[in-house]
Amino acid sequence: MTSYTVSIDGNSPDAALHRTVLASLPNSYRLVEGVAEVVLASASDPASVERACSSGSRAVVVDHPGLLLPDDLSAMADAADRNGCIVAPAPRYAPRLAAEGDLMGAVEIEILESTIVSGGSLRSALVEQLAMVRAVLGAAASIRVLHTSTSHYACEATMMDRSQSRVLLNGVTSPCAGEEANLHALAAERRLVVRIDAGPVARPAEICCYDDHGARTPWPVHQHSHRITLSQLHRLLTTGQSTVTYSLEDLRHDTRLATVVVP
Amino acid sequence: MSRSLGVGFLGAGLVTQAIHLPTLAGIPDQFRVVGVMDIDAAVADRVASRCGATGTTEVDAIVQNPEIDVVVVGSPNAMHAAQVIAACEAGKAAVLAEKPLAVSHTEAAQIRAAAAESGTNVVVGAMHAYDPGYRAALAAWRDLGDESVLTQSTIFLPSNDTFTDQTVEPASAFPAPPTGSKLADATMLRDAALGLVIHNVPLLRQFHPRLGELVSASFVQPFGYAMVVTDDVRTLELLGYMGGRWPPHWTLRVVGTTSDLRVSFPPSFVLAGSSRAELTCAGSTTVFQFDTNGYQQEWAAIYDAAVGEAEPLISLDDVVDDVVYALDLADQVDPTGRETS
Repeated sequence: MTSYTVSIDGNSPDAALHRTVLASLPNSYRLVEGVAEVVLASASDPASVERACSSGSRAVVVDHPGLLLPDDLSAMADAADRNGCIVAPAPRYAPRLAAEGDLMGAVEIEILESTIVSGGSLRSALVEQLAMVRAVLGAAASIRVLHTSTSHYACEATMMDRSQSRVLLNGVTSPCAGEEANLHALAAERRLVVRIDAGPVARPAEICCYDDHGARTPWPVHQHSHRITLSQLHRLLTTGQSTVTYSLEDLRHDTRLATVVVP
Repeated sequence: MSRSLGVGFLGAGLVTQAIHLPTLAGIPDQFRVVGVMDIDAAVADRVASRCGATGTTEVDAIVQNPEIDVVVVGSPNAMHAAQVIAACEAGKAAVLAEKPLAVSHTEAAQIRAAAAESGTNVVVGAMHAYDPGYRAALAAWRDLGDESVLTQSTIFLPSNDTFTDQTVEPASAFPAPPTGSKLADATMLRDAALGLVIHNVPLLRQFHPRLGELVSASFVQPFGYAMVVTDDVRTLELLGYMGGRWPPHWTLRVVGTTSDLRVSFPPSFVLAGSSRAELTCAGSTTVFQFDTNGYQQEWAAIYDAAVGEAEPLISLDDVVDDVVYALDLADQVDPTGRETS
């Protein structure tokens, strides 16, 4: 198997997580100091992403992508285009849900409710949430704010392709409650319940689909979302045949919407 | 030696047959069913005969019967207030009224006055308010001293037949809910507020005490709703849907500044134990779950208060304030239905 060199920011608060996840993909990535083919960066330092693009890296994986502002993303996209570098946003929830495929199928979803509890930025939480909702309903077209405060937002989203669905999104900053994302999609024929804990590195997502036969739960997969993104990126770099769950264009779109709710 | 209390039912419908009679059947030393009233004499007699009681079509035969200490009001909503007040005026020890206790603010005020005057313990069949799992979790949550930020009540239910078929054979056929109704969504939302949301209002008021402003409301066909209310500090999200083809999901979630409380209730109509309540704080989760459910605890609380062993678990003021809260919500979703003076 082709192995790519990868570097991380050893001073980042997420360095331990990044090392742990990379260590779980030893045949795909080899951690090095300095210039590397792949850079695993944090969005809290957007300049590092641009530097990586212009220094010859083939790909940059961006953790906490919801922290980036629209201007950061424009500059990042320009740098990626100029240098032929892949920028892969790495959300912490969406890849685990998207990995299970289309669980709701073509049923008409009446209500989708999602709540995310975060220890950090509410805008980042909303971007994470929009990324996760994409796995069920596609992209949001617009967002209406119902309530915002320093610790909470409540909003309604209208989806691009399934505008009849009522979509309610809540985000709460609650440092002690534990970070996690929930999603509940309801149709008359089927109901999808998702609970993803952002704490332990490899705690599996709880995903369950209910219908008139009872419950159907995919096999639990004990891996972090970043491991899924890095695996997808490895296939993309090696075969050119893969995509990552959440593209830079997806991120730019969702960030524009999220900025309306949480500037 | 324990004292056995006489019980009389006003209305012999599904709730009486599928909920209260099976619950009372398990506590024969505390309660005996004396009378069952229904406008359908055959139903009244049939249901009464199952529990050794007398059937009647007359309200007064229950309310004025001195052998009856506890009156259960399970009649249509519009009759609740008048029958509760009549039971208070007859000096009953307790009235257990189905939800909603009243359908107008005026009725609510009249009940408050009548019950205060007579000293009757007015209990509303909001079974989850008595659920021991929820109550234990609520006490633990209060000990934390946390403040709620987001309170969510979610009631996604399949057809009630799924559960009532497991408990009783109905004595009479119940009409199917209307489909394709031409009624305005606002009217349907009022019905939802006073019919389904109200189940959890006593719980919601613990975490979201001031209703605030309705900022979003939509009716979902054939019978469901999505509503969001905010008081500028806290948000209350209310979701409901009936008639799905999947297992039930009846939950309460409260996200606070330092904790996360989740309560999952068993469906109505079945004696399936308490809710499972999980309280997470600082990385650890405590689970509360018991073998008895809200209905059983509700009747236990009625007994204890009636024989003077305890104060009512939920005060008269709270019982009335609960229905006022639900009426305030109904008035916001359907201003045309607001009571005029």
